[in-house]
Amino acid sequence: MIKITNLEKFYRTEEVETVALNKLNLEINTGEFVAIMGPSGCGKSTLLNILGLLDDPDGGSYLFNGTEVAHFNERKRADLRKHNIGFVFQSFNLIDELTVFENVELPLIYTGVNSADRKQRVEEVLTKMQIMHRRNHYPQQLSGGQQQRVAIARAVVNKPKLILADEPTGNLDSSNGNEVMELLTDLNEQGTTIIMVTHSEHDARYSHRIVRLLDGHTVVENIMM
Amino acid sequence: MFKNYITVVFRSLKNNLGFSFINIAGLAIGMAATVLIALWVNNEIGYDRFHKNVNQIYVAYNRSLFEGEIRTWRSTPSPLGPALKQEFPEVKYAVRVDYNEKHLADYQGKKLQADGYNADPDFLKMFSFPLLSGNINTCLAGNDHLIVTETFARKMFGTADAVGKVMKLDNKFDFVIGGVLKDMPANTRFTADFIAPWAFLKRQYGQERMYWGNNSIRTYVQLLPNTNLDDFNRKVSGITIRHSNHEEDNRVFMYPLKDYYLQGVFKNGKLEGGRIEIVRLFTVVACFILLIACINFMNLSTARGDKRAKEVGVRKAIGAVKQALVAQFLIESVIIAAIAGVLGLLLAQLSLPHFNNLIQTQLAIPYTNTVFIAAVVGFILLTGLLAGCYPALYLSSFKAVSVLKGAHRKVSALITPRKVLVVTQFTFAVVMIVSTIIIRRQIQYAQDRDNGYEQASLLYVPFSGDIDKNKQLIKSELLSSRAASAVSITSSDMITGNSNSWGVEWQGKPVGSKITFDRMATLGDFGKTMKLKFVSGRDIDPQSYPTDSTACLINESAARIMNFKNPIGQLVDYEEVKWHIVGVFKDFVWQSPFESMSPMFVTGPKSEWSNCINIRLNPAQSLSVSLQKAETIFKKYNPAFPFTPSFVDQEYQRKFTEQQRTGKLAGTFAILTILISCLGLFGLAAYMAASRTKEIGVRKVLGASVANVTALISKEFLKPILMSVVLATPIAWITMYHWLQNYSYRTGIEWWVFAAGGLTAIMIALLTVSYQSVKAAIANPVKSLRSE
Repeated sequence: MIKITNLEKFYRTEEVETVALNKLNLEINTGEFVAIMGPSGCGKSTLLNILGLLDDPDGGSYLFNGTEVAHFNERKRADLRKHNIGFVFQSFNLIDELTVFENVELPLIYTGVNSADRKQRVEEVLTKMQIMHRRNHYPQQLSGGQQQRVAIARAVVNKPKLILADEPTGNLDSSNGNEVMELLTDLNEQGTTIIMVTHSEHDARYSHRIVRLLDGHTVVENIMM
Repeated sequence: MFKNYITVVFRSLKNNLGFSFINIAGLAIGMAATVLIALWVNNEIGYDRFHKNVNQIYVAYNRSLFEGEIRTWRSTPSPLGPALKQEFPEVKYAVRVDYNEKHLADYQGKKLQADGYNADPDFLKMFSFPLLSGNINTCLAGNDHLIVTETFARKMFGTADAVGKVMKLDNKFDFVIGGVLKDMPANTRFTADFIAPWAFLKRQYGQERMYWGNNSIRTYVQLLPNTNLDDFNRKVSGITIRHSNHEEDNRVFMYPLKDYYLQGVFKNGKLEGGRIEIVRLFTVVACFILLIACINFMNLSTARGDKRAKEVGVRKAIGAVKQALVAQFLIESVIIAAIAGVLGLLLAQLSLPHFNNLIQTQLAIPYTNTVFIAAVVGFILLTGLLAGCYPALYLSSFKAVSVLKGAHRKVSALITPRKVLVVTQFTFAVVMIVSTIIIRRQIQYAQDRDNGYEQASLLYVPFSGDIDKNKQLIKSELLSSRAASAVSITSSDMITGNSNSWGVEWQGKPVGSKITFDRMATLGDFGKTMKLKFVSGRDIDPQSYPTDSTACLINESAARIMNFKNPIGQLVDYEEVKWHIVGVFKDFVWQSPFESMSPMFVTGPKSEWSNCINIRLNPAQSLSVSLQKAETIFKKYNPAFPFTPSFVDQEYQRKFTEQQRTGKLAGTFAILTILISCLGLFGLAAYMAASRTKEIGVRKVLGASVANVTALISKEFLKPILMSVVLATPIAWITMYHWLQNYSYRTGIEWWVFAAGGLTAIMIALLTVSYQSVKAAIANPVKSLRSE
């Protein structure tokens, strides 16, 4: 599904150039659940942002389903994103002004799904995430675990092929964290590819494979059994 | 999608009440001010332009050379109108109109004061003033029919149809009401209670003066469609010269009715503008006020960027492209502009009575007018787009990556574009403050001017009814009853400078000179009554000097122009009488107190020209006693008319009305500008203080005092304000220098005015910011550090 070759990314300030990704190579197959680990500043999030087409690489190649997407323009990237990729963030990133239902509905609006279908699909996914009873609440009225479930609902409502999760349990206690990890595992079992950045060895154990980064390149890959 | 945007707008407004209030209030106040100015401008632009035939109607003007300068004026000789109609087939109608005068109207014993003028019978065919009843062809026919306006008819005749009723004017002339006019709009020069036929003049005075040398009435001409104005003007140009057998040398030309009000000022023969300048000035002011309100919106929206950053990031991650976000933020600002627009209209409606009072007019918001509705919708869209474009571009440019990681850079201080916006706002505010101060100083300067005579306890009564017949009896009784210490009967009062002439001849006058003298006539005691200061000679006094019938007075300016070594005893030739100068008095203000004094020539009793009794009240008696005595005397000799004297000092103040109005408008808009700018500054300071919470906490932990922190934040705002003062100074100076050039008697522009204006702006701005900076400074640092 994903093949990156010699991927490079630099951050420049006036005086210093920092290498975030240093000729990184990685391949991820459809249906995999991959955890990316490594110390702070090793380039995990940068990698995830590039994989999610939120950021441009400075060099190298990124094939998504066989198509070179490294230098897509914004419109093409947005298009690819909304049809194929769902995001789950550490800090949930729900829109405060929208209710649970409306937050989950948002991706469907951008992909142009009609109103009746949207209602049906949002309700389906909210039920699946066991958050249907909170559909008319605002994010501030929910617990962290509930907010993350809403965020996952939002990520999957468009039935994306790939979910990118950036420390999805980072702001949660262990029981809520486990729930979230179960949800991701379920999604993966239903065929969704998942790439997750995490600091937690515990969470990483839910994945098929752990990719460890250091200073912008892969140091080791563990296959989980 | 659209529904989603609207949902977000309203919830976001609700969740941030303070921000919403500042943003919407600023915009609403700005829009209200703009609506009011727009109404006024529309009213001005529509002045006498609503007539159906406006494109064919022209005002007759004269043009002639005076002392090397071409003068242009629009009072014309009486025979011009009929001559134009008779001699030129292009002329469809020619209508003469004279000046409004107050008359006493009487219907079956009910007496009302009525303001009216005389006009030729085609008046209603030329101008579009619809008749409610009566026949357009006969309502001004003959010399005994007149038309009244709706309101006057209701006051005089009640609800009954006025047409056919007989009303007496000035206790003397019976008139049949020929028609009732719908009330005229405020923006026409033709407002009156009644219009009498031109032939009434003949009935009044026994004869009509068909003299080509007397320019004292207005002539309007309606040309046939497709008449070429230039060709026509070439043809009519010499009409006065021809008819006066070359005694007069003014050329006649027609000037469009639609332009004369706004652009009717000529300087040396060239069109120089006129009222359009003040209309333009206030249009610019309106645009600036709106711009300032929009700037608030931009500043607050971008300062609030942090709060919106997450939303931008999420929407981008989900698949929104930049254009979709730009559209979202534009729609959002249009919605806010619409809310502000509705509130602004409400505000405008509420302040309309006050505004009308300020500018002495009767404006109304035309809610049902489709053009107005379209204009409001367009205005809201424009404001929304103007205010929203920068925030939309700014907010939509946030990088999803950084905002979603929470790494979005906080707005740490006034970043550059925002600083530019604040500078723009305060520059305009300072310009407005300085302008207001200078306008007030100019008015004060003219008010403090030595007007050359004593105004206190001087009053005048214009002739009405039997006053003319009994004027000498009235005068002697006023004096013998000790109500007055001096009385002078004159051709005009001291306020209305209404006559001048270039027909004054004296020995040594340069050949071809057309120096124009202000003209007055008196039956005597002129200097004594007005308390003029005599430079040489004495007052006209026919009682003591029998030859004073042909005596005259001149003012100092006239003496300078006539250039006599000793003016007393010199002869002046005027209207076939040889007048001998008996006195020279110091110039007094007869025309505008903002203009330089003209030469003046006051003739004695031989002129037989009197219209007004001037009374110097007896200082030895109380005002009320003197007035009571005067009233008894006037009632005795003029019983049909109420005694309504005018006080010279009060009337004199009216000469400042126009300037005072400009001053008040400038002051009002200065206050509004500052109010809107400060609302914005207040909001901005709040966001800045909030975004620097951590910094302030750290500083306090490290030992900064409340005063240190307050100063730190205030300083950030002080810099752009100081910059504004620097920028505003030359702008205000140029604008006001230009404005002052309109007046030949004018004050200078002092440096301290700019200092005062700048200091005011700085103080107000600091006061505004201080609330937020003190609040931030006294906050507990432990809390603020934990929040990060």
